[in-house]
Amino acid sequence: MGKLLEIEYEKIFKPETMASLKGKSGESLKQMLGNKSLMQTIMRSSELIPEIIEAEKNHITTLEGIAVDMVTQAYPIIDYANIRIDAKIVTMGDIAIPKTEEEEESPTNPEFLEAKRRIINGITQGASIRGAFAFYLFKEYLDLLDDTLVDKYGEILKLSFGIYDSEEAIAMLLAMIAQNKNMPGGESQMEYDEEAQQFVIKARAICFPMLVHEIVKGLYEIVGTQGFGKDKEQNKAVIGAVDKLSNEPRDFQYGKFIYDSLNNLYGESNINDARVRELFFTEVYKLDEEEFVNFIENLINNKLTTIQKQWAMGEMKAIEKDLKKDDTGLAGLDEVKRRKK
Amino acid sequence: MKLDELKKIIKEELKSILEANAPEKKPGTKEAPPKEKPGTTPKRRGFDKPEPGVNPKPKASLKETEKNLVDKITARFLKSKK
Repeated sequence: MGKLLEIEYEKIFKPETMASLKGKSGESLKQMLGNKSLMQTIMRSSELIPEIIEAEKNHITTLEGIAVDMVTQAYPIIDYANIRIDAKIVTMGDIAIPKTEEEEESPTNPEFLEAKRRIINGITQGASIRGAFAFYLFKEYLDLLDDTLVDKYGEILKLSFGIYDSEEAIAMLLAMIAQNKNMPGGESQMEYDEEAQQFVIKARAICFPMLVHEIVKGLYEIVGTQGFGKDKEQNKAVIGAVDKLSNEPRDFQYGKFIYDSLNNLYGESNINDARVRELFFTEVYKLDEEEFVNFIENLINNKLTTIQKQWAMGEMKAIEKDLKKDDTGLAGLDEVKRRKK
Repeated sequence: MKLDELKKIIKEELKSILEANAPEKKPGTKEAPPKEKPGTTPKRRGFDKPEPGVNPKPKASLKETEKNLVDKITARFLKSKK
């Protein structure tokens, strides 16, 4: 990894890895936007949003409930880890979630820590893009409200996320962020409720599919917290240096493929318990910074070493075993056995 | 064997098993309070409480920048037509 001034993917990964990510982004652009130009994409998107808002206006509470139910079903880790979700469809002016604490300016940080955080942010964004499409599984419910909604949701998500594979669009987005002219369509934040000893996902969005996207993002933000060390100042500094709005377009662009690689690894394990996926991600995030970057890079390039692969499979099996013990209430018996040894 | 005798034997057997498996306690030491709330079963896996200083900023979706993009492209288009 070269010396990092700004934590850019080009500086974190080898050229071979970047070529792979860019290749996937090019394919994704074709899949998501087809032959539409940027202008056509933006114009169509601008037509769709008001149509969706109009169609949803009499079903807001129901849709908020469906969004929470849907994500909870699609990600059973939410129930297992007792995560609370506070999700609302709001008008554009009400999207911003009040910040709980003033952020401080960051001093310089070891580069691998920042690289790790940047990759984790990418995975968070990537997971939330993939997760947003889960509404197709709930088509029957949504059709009962309005049978035109599902098609519109599919189209708006393809358009919205497809533009992050367009260099032209990213350049414009970055220019707008630099001029502070961006207006978000949704926002999410994770909080830890000390009193209830519980993670809380706060999500706000202007419409249902964006709300689902934000809830999943909040979930993966919680998973992402597991990648930090114990040094408070360092943690604050890393967040200050890496969690920047200007980093988000590239996180959206490349993060989905990094997420796919990790998700595929979970798929390879043939474990049929979706909770294992997020819990396995936390184990990956807990790896030492340099080891983490190396693991992810090898994973993207489909070049995990035998030891890395064995470690990953072993971790997933161990998580699965622990979850089974929790589910069957065999934890107590296991404790007795352990003490007898 | 009477039922009462059987109960007594079972109770004694259970008591001896529990004692054999009880953690060793030094005199005068107090047991640590349980981490979980009463009535809940501790789970083997999950997410640890965030480390100090871990308070990520809200992540925004930039979707609605599109409106601004349209305005910008339109303005550029109109300017070029003049």
